[in-house]
Amino acid sequence: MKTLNKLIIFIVLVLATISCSDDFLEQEPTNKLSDDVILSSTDALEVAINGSYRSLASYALDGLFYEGMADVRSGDAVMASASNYGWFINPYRFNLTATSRYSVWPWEVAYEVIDNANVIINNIEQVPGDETEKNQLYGEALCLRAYSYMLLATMFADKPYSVNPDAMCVPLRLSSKDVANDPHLARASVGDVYNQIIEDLLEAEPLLGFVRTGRFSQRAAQGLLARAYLAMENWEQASSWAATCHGGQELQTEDMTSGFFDYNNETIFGYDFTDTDNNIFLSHPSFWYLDGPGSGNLYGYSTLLYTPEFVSIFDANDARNMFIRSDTTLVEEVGAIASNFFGVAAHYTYKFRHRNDFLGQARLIRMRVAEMYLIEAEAEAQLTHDVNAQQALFEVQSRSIPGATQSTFTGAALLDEIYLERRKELYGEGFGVWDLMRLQLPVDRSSPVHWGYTEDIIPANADILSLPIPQDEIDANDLITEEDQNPAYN
Amino acid sequence: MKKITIFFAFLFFVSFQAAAQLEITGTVTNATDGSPIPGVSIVVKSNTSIGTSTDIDGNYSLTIPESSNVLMFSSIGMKSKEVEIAGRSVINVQLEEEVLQMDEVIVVAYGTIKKGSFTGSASVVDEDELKKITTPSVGQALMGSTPGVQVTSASGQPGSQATIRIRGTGSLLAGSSPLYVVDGIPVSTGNYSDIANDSYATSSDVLSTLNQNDIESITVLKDAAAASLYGSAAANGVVLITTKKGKEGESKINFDAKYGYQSLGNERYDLMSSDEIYKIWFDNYLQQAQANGLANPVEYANSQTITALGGHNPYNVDNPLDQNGNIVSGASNVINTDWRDVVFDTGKTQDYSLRASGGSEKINYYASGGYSTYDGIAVGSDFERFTGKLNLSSDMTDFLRFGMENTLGYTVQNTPPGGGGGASPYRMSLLYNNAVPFYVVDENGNPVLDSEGNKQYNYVNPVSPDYNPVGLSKLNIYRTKTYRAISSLWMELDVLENLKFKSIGNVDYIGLTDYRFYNPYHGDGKPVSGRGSRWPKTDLNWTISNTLTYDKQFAEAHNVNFLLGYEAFESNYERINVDATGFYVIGDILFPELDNASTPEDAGSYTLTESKSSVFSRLNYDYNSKYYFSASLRRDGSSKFGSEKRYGLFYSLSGSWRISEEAFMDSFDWLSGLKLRASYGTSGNDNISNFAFLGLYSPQSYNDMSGLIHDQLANDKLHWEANANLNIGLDVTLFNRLSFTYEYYNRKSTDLLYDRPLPLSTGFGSIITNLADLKNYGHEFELNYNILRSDVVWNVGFNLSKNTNEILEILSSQIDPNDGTKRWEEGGSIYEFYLEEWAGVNSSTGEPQWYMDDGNGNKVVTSNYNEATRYKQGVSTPDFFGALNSDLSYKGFELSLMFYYSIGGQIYDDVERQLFYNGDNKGNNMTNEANDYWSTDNTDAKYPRFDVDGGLNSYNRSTLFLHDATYIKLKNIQLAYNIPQDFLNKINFSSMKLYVSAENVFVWMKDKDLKVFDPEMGIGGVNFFRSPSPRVFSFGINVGL
Repeated sequence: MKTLNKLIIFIVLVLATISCSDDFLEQEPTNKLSDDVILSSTDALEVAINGSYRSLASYALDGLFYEGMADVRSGDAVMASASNYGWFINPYRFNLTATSRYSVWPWEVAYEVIDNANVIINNIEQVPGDETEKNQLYGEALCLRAYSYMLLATMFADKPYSVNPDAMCVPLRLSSKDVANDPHLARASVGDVYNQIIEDLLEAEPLLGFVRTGRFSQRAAQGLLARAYLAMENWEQASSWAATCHGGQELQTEDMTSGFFDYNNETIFGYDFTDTDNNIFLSHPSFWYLDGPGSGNLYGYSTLLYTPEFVSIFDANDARNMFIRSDTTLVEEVGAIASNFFGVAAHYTYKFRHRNDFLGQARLIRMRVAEMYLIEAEAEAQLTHDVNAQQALFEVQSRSIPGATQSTFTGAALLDEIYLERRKELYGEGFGVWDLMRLQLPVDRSSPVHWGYTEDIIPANADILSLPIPQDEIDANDLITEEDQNPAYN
Repeated sequence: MKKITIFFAFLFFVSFQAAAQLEITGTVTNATDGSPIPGVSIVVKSNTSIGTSTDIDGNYSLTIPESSNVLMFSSIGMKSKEVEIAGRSVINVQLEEEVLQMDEVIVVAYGTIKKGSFTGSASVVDEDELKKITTPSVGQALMGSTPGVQVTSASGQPGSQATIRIRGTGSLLAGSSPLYVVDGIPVSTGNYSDIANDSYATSSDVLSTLNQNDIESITVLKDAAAASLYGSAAANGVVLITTKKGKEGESKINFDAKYGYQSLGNERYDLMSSDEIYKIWFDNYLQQAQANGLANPVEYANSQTITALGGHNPYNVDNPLDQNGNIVSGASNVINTDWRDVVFDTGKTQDYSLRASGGSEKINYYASGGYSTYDGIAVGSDFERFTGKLNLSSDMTDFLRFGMENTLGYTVQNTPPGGGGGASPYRMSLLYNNAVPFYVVDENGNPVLDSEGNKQYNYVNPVSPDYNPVGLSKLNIYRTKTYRAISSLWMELDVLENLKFKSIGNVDYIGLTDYRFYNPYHGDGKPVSGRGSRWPKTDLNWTISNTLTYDKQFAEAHNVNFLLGYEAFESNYERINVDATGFYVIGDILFPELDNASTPEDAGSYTLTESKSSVFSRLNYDYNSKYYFSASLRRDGSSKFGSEKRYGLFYSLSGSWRISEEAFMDSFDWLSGLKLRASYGTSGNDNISNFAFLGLYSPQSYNDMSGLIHDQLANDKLHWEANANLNIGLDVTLFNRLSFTYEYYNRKSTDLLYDRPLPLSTGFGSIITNLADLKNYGHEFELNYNILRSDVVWNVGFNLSKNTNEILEILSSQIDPNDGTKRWEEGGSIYEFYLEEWAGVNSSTGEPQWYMDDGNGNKVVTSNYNEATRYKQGVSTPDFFGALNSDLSYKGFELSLMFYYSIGGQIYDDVERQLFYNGDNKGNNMTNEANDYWSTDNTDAKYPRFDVDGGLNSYNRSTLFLHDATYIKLKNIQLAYNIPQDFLNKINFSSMKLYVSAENVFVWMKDKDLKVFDPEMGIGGVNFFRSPSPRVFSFGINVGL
C-alpha cells in the first residue's frame, strides 16, 4: 500500500514536470514592432512616417537646436549665462568640440530620420497597398530625407555650397540595407549632397497629394526646392520655385503675429506641437519668450535675448519690433559693460509665445510665405531683375512697416536691403548665422552685451562657423578620419 | 498553549514557579586539557527558559522541575552537548573543542553540504553579522563580511540598492549583479521604481522588502563549482539567502527592538560663508571695473556681486563693501544660510521584530512580524517597512514531507531626487550659496511673514530657479510603495531508501505603486499647474523546480550523491504610466491625486514576458572523507535569445583533498585541518533586456497621432555572455583555533555584450553584439584567530581581497557609457579613468593649463581646454580591500567592531568640480580653497585667475578633481550585555541582551584634498550629488522567551 502511494505521488509529480512545450520560450515584445511588421502594410509605414516627424521636431534637431544655434551664433542674440542649465552657452561662445551635444545630437537625429526614410524609399515597391497612398508615403519619405540632408549640410559642411561646392559635407547614405555590416561611408561633397536633395525633392513634389498640418505637402516641397536652389545659387530655379510656392498669395496684416507660433494662412510647413506633445522646457517659447525666473511666473528659461544693436535695426513702428528690454538699470546708472546674468542689458522678444499660456504649447513654424518672397527677391536681384526683386521685397516690407515705400535700390545696395529684411523678418526662425555663412558675411559680436568670446568680429568664411563632425562618427567610421574633421576642430 | 502563557508572563512580568523542584550541581571542563570552562550555558531541554551558566571555575548549580530529562550544555568554541539527567544530582561534563568550520553545514545550490566536503568557494554570513548594520538593505550588510565581495553604495537613501560585485565586474553592458536565491528559488532583485532610479542617482531595492531578522544565514557562492548549477544566471556569483525555520523541541519567542539616530557624518567641504563668497566676487568685479576705468567702480562691483549671487544682498545696506574691500560702517551681514544644515538633519531609525518558532515531532513552524522605519538624513527621505513571515513544514508520513515558506513585505520609500537634477536637495545643499536666504527676508534679514503670520520659504536662487529644498519637500511627493509576497510550497518524497524527489512551486509577486507629484506652486509643476505621475506595475514570477537526489555510501568509503533536476521559470512584468496636469490652486492645500487634475497628459503601458526552462545535474563523490570530486551540468533555454541561439550548456568540475585526514599527517597534531581545493567551470549571464536580438521600431507619437521610429537593429546571433571560472583554494586550521583560507581565482568572461559602435550616420549609434572579452583575477585571504577562549573569549578575523580587471578584447576603444570618465581598451581595466590632465596654473598669465599631446608623443601644456589630451589616470577600484573584525566577550559583555579598509584606487569628485569654477558658474557656492587664485600678488597660486566673465574652463573635467581613494573606516562598533541567566530564570526569560552600537563612526582618508562626505561610493568612483552613508548611533534589546 505504502509503495503504491509512493509510486502514484511520484508519477503525478514527474508528469507535471515534463508537460512543458517548446512554445514556452517564444515571447514577443508588446510595445515595440519588429522590422517585418513595419514592412507588411502601408498602414504601418504611415505610422513610421509620422514618427519620423517627431524625431525631426525633437529639440536636438529642428525643434530647437537648429534655430537656437542660428541666432546665438549670428551676433544678433545673446545667451544669459545662467539659469538655463547651460543650454546654448557653448555654441554661443563658439566653444564647441566634437563631443559637444550641439554637434552630436543634431547629427544623430538627422540620420535617424534618414534611416527611417530610407527604409520606406528602399522598400515601398514591395509593400502591398493603394498606389495613391504609396505615392504620398514615398513623397514624404523623400522630403524627410532631403530636408534632413539640408539641415546637415547647413550645419556641418566645411564650407557652404556658395563658397565651394567641392567642400566636404556629410556622408550621403541612401540605403538602410545591411548598415550593421557595411557602415562606413566617407563625407560627400556639398555639391553631391545638394544634387541628391534636388533629385529627391523633384521626385517628391508631384507625388504629394494630401495636405496635412505638420507634414510635408506639395507646397512645402516647392518651398524646400526654392531654399535648396538658393543655397546652390541657382537663382532662376530658386526664384521660380519660390514664386510657385507663394503663388502670389498676399501677406496678411491682420493676426500676423500669431503666425509665428501658430498656423495661419501663411504657414507652409511647421511642426504640430500639441498640448500634450511638445518639447516643454526645450521649446522655442521657453527660451525666447520673456516671463522667466524672478518674474514669479515660470514659463520656461527665457534666456535667449537680442542685442540692443539688433533691436535698433527695426523702425519703432515696425510690426516685427516685438521686443521688451530686460530690466537693467545697471548699464545706464553705472555706465558699465553689461552683466552676464539675470539683468543682461538685452531684449526679450515676444515673437514666439506659448499658446494657452502653458509651457511649450506652441506650433513651431518652419516655413512661411514671406520667406518665399524674400527668396524670390534675392534671386531676382542676383539675376538683376531689379524691379521684380523690389516688388517681392515690398510684399514683405509693406505689411510690417507702416508707410513703407518700394525700394529703388539696385545691385549690391538692393541685395543688402534684402539681406537686412531677411534678418528682420526671419529672426528666431533658423536663418541667422546659416544665412551669414551662405552669404559670406562676418559675424559681428561687438555689442557690449556680448560675453564669453574674445573676438568682436568673426570674419566671413571663418572655419569656426561650421560645426564639428561628431567624434563618435569619426571613431566608428573607417572612411572618416581625424584629417577629415572640419578645420576649426582638428 | 504553554508558550502563550509564557508570552503573557513576559508581557506582564509575572513570574511563575513550577511545582516539584530538583537541584543539580557539577563542573564543566575542557575535554582536551581538563581545564574548567566558565560561561557555559546550561538549559533544560524541555523548557529552555530554565537555565544557568558556569562560574569562573566551571561550577554550576541549577534548580529544575522534577519532570526534566535532559540538560543542554553550550559554549562558544566548544561543541554543544546534551546530557540525560537520569536521576543524578551531580553532573560533571566534558566539552570538546569545536573543530573550526569543517562540520558546519552550509547551504549550496539545490541543497546543503558539510563544509568539509565542499569543493567550491563559498562564504557564509550568519545572522549576527547581518544585525550589526542599521539598514533595510541586505546587501549592505555584506560589506566587509567576506573576501571577494565588494559592496558599494551610491546612495545613503534608506531602501536603496547596494552594488555588489563578487570577484569583480564581469560584464560591460549586461548586469553584473549576483543572482539572489531565497530558500532555493531565484528571486527578483534590483530597482523597480520609476521615481528612485538611476537617472536621479537613487534606487529602491525590492530586496529591501526582506526583514534581516528573518534571515538565518547568507551564503555567497563565488566559483564555478558553487554557482555553475545556476547556469545562465550564475556568471556574477550567487547569493543564497536562507530564512529561519522552526526546530523540533526549541519553542521560542524572540523580541528585538532597535532604536537609533542617523546623521550626516562629516561636512568636509569648506564652503564659503556669505561674507567670503561676497568678497571673492567683489574683489574681482572691482578689479575689472578699475581696469575698464568705470566711473563708479565700487557701486559697479557691489551690484554685480549681488547679481552674481543670484540677486541676494547678504548685507543690510546697498553698497556694503568699500574700495578696499572692507565692510562699510553700519553694514552687517544678515543672511548666511548654511544649506547643508537646511537639507541634512538627524533621522530616527526603528526596527522591531517579534518571532515565534518551534516544532513538534511532526510539525515545525517559524512565524514573525516586523516593523521598521528609517528617516533618511536628507529632508524628505525616508523608508518604512512591514513584514510578516510564516515557514511551516510537516512530516506527513515517514516517507513524505511538505512545507511552505511565505515572506510578505510592504515598504514605503520617499526618495527625493539625487544627482544633478534641479530638484535634488543634495545638489541644493552644496551649490546654493550662503547669501541665498532660506526664508523670504527683508533688507535686515528678518523674515517677511505672510498674511497668516508664517515664514515663507524663499524660492529665488541662481542655481535651480523656483526651488527650495525644504519648501519642495513639503509640497512634492516622491513615493514608492512596494508590495511583495514570496511563497513556496514544497513536497519531498522518499521514493526509495536513498532516492528523494523534491518538488518546489514558487510564486514571487512584486507590486509597486510609484507616485510622483510636482506641486502647482513652485518648481517643476508650476508651469503646468501641477503634474501628477503614477507608475503602477506588477511583476509576477513563478518557478517550478523538481529534483531527484540519490545519496548512498558504498563499502563504507565511497559516498555518492547524485542530483537530477528540471526547472521552469516565467516572469510577467506589467507596467502602466499615467500623467496628468492642471491641479487645483487653492491656497496652498494639495490635492495630489490624479482625479483632481484637469488635463490627462500621457498614458502608456507594456508587458514584458520572459521564460526559461532548464535541466541540470550534479554528481558528488568522495572517498573516505579524503578525496572529493564534484561535477555539474546544466542546459538552459531562454526567451531572451533568437531561436538559433536559444540554448546554452554550462558545466563545472571540481575536487578537493583533505590532506590532514591522511595517515601520514597523524603526527602533526598542531595541524587540525589542511585541505586543497580546485575547480573549473562555466556559467552564463543573461542579464540583458528581453528583445535585444530583434530589429525594432519604438513608438513616438507626433501630432497626437501614433508614430514609430526605427531604433534597434536586429542581431539574431546574439547569445549569452560566457564565463569560465578557475578557483584554487587552500584551507588550513592550526591548533583548532587559527584558521586561514587562501584562494586564487581567474574568471574569464567572453562574448560580452557590447554596443559595437556604428557610425552615427547609419542612423544607429551602435548594435548590441557579443564582442568583448575580459577577465577578473585575484587573491583572497581570510584569517580567523580565536586568541582567547577562557573566561575572556576573543576572536579576531581579517580578510583581504585583491581583484584585477582587464579587458582582453574589445573591437575598438570606447569611452564608457556610464559616466564618460573612463575608456575601455584592451589591456586596461573597465574602471580606468581617462581624463584631461591638469598641469597647474600658468604663473605669468594665471590661466589654467592642461597637458596635450604635441603630435610627437610629447606632453606639452596648453591653456585651451579643447586641445587638452585625455590620458589614462588609474582605476577607480581599490588595489585591495577588506575588513578587520574583533569580537571580545567577557561574562555576558560583548564588544565587537569592524574596520573596513580600501587601499588604492581613485575618486573623481564631480561635486568639487562644481564647487570650484573661477567665475564660470555664477551663483554656485564655492569652497574656501578657491581663494587661492592667481593674481599678480599671488603668482604661485593653486588655482587660475578669477574671471568674472568666466570662460577659462578651469572647472572642466580634469585630474584637478581626481584623488587617491584610500580610506579606512570604523564601520561599526557594538557593546552588548547579556543579562545573567540566574536573573533571567527568575523572570522566566531565556535570554536578554542589551546593546549600543555605532556605525560609520569615523573615516580616515589618505588624500587630504579629498573632501567627499563619504568615500564609499559607486563602483565607478565618481562622486556626485547624493546622500552619503549616514553615521548611526543605536541601542537595542533582544529578548528570548
